[in-house]
Amino acid sequence: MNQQPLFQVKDLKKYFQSGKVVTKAVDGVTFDIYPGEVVGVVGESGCGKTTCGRTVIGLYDKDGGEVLYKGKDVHRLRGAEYSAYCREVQTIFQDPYASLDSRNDVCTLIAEGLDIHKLVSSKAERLEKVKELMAKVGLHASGLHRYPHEFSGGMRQRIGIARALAVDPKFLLCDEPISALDVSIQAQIINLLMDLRETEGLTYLMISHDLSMVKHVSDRIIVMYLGKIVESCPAEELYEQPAHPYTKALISAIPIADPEVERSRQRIILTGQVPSPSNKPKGCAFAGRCQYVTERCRQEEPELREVAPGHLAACHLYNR
Amino acid sequence: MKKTSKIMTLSLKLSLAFLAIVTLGALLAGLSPYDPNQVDLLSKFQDPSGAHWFGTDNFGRDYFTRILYGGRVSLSVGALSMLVSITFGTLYGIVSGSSGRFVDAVMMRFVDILMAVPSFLLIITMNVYLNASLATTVLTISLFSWMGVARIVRAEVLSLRERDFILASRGLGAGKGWIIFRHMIKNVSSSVMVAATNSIASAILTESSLSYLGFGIKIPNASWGGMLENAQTYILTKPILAVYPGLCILLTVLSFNVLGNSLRTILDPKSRR
Amino acid sequence: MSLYEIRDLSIEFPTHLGTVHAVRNVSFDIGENECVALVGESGCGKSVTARSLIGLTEVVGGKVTSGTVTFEGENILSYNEKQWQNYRGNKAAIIFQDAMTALNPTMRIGKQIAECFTFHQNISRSEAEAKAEELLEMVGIPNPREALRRYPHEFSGGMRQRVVIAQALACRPSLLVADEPTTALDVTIQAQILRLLVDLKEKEKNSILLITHDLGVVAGMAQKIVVMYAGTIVEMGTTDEIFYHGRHHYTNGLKEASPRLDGKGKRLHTIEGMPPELINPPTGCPFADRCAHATEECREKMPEMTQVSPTHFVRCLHMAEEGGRA
Repeated sequence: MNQQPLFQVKDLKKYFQSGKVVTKAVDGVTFDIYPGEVVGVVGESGCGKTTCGRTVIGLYDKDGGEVLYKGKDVHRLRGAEYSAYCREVQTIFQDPYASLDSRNDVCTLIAEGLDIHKLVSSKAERLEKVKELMAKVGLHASGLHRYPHEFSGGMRQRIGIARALAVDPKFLLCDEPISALDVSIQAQIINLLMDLRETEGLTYLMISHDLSMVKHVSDRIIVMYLGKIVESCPAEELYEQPAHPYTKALISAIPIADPEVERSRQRIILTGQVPSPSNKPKGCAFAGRCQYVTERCRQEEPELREVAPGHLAACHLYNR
Repeated sequence: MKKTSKIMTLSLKLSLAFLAIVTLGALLAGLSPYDPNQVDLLSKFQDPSGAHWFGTDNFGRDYFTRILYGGRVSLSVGALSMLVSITFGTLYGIVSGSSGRFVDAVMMRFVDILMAVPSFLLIITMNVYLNASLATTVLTISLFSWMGVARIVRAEVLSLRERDFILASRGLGAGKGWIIFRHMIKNVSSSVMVAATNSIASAILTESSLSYLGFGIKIPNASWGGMLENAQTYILTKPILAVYPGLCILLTVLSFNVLGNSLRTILDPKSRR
Repeated sequence: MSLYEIRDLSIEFPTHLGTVHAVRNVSFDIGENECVALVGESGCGKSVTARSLIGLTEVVGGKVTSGTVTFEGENILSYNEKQWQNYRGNKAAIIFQDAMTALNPTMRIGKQIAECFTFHQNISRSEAEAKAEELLEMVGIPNPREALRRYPHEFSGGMRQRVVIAQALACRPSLLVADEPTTALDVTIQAQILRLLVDLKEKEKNSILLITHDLGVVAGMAQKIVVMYAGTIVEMGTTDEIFYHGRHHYTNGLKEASPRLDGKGKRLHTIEGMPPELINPPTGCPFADRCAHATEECREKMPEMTQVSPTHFVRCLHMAEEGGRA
């Protein structure tokens, strides 16, 4: 891709402090997102993927590093520039219950962005736009003046998507967009998001613990472990040729809905526990659970480097 | 589970009915043929009759009319001081909760200090110096009753601030004012309503105590606390004089408390889901 | 000979909006040393069905309106509280999704596990502790002796779930009900716990009733699968029959709805619409409104369970063609 990246994330850091304990939720993360791309971020709970996403788009302040959106520092945008940025970058949240203000009706919820940015000049135009958005995400216009608690999880997630689309965004941060939903509803939302990618020309950062889903939708996947990127590569390659031992274990741990495949699979069952992000060991964070661990791994932290064209991994195995 | 909710709806209905009667009585007190302060020594200490429904007191004043006017005082003090303290408390809580750590800490310590002050004594002292009237009573009572609301609102604001829908709104580009007026106020309203109902009850109690001690509404104007104090002298000979205002205070306060409790259950979003 | 025979079980929940018919005429068997999976989406009645085997229906506000559950020749649904107490933990035990709420946070692990022995077996405290240590070792907790003295919050999520499994297996129950045992866990930890459950089943010869929404988990573990939808069983059979010869359109739709790790990125199959309300469940097939093959007949009358093989049952009037692989 020869285009200018939409987002350039450079050595981004985000720490949380409670008392004397500092949790390094995101600890030096570098990656780019190109226009039209779907970048997936996977990792287990506590690996910092949600914090990473929210810090990248500026919902959280950063503690180090830099995020550039179209060449401008996201955390320094003010005034009109900030307002324009807010319209271009939107978020879909995980919990369709917590992310909608239960005291507003669907029309008010969806129109919030229109109202904040004064994108419509008359009541009739506002109503027209809201109805158009509802149709776009597959909601029936009869729900216009109903309240979120009258809707099921999948429908609420559609309301959240319509709210984000109201301001004509270029980029959507999807933070576990389907993990609160039932299987048959998950597929509906995923298909909707993928359709919108085509029709609206959207770019996504897709954060999820569900590698099967991320692989299904993403062009490129970033694997995080304890606040750091351990591997980043095209989606197909990650499953075909995972480089990092953690990625290998992660892939082998995911159950596949096919009994024959399951019977013939060799599982790498990880032993040991994930270290706490507030008390990280020296060296590679995965060393304690890795079957290929060497003395070097415990002493020296591996850097993210190219192991194949377009395929990055942070592991000493590939740098002897 | 089912039984308790049945009892609750019954007590709620009774409370609402009682409050409606008292409010109506207070509003329509002027329709009574008697002047509540008109002394008529010829007809003192009369028993309840068709002419005097609750009888008359030691000055021959119609007791029913005085109860109605007393209700007017109690309810207006309750409602007005509730309005003042809730408005101020909510604003204070929102400002404190949505400000930075330092401002929040200073504002909350001030609340702690006010809550540590023996408020009733101060209210009495202030009422003595300020020449007690309806307005001063309302002001002094609300001066010492907004802190509870402020604390509740601040706690809610702090938890709301982290909620996804507030983040979503910020992500849409909303400013502080937008978030406060479009989201915060609506979402704290249910707990504020519960606090408001309970604060009416406690304001009525404070007012009655003040009047009973003679620091509230000045005689000869009727107030339930004042009537109770007056009836005290005749407690052995004419105990019924204490029963009317006493029951009124008791039932009104009880009704507001029942209403508050029911509101808490009704407005709880969990019970609706 | 089956360990459990569940026949015609119906469970209702009275709510202020009306009666929720959570489980309707459910019948299936659990064989000895068999892992049966109850699969379905939230609200399909799978958890409610499973809890009735532990006698927890009333506790959560439900009412069994018909049916029997036969275990060792007795209908356990007619048990009184005393009989239930003797049965729970001893004959059947349950593990839940959230291990933290299943453990008492103020009590040491050792004591919580030993509790089970003191309820059901007349043994001394030191004996009970020794047995608890054995159990912790069995579920793979490092330093079991030391772990006995620790509190639940000192363990990670995966380790807590192991403790809960140890507690459940303490009295060697014939049936272990696992209600979404790994949903709250990370995939790498999930793999550990599932492996543990399979290993323990081989060793202890117990049966497992696994409740889950994740077909992937089921594929590697269950011998038999029961698919539930809107309170009824729509299809049941052996794991291979369900995965490779699924005849109900809901089962097949469910299989195609989740992306597979080894699949290519094609458009996902969706089941449009939503499950019906269970307050006034439809009289006909509950899936009819979302089914592409539904006819008038489907909406009018609930289809009968049709046997298509000795172990395979389908509740559908217009079954999918045999041999359609997902």
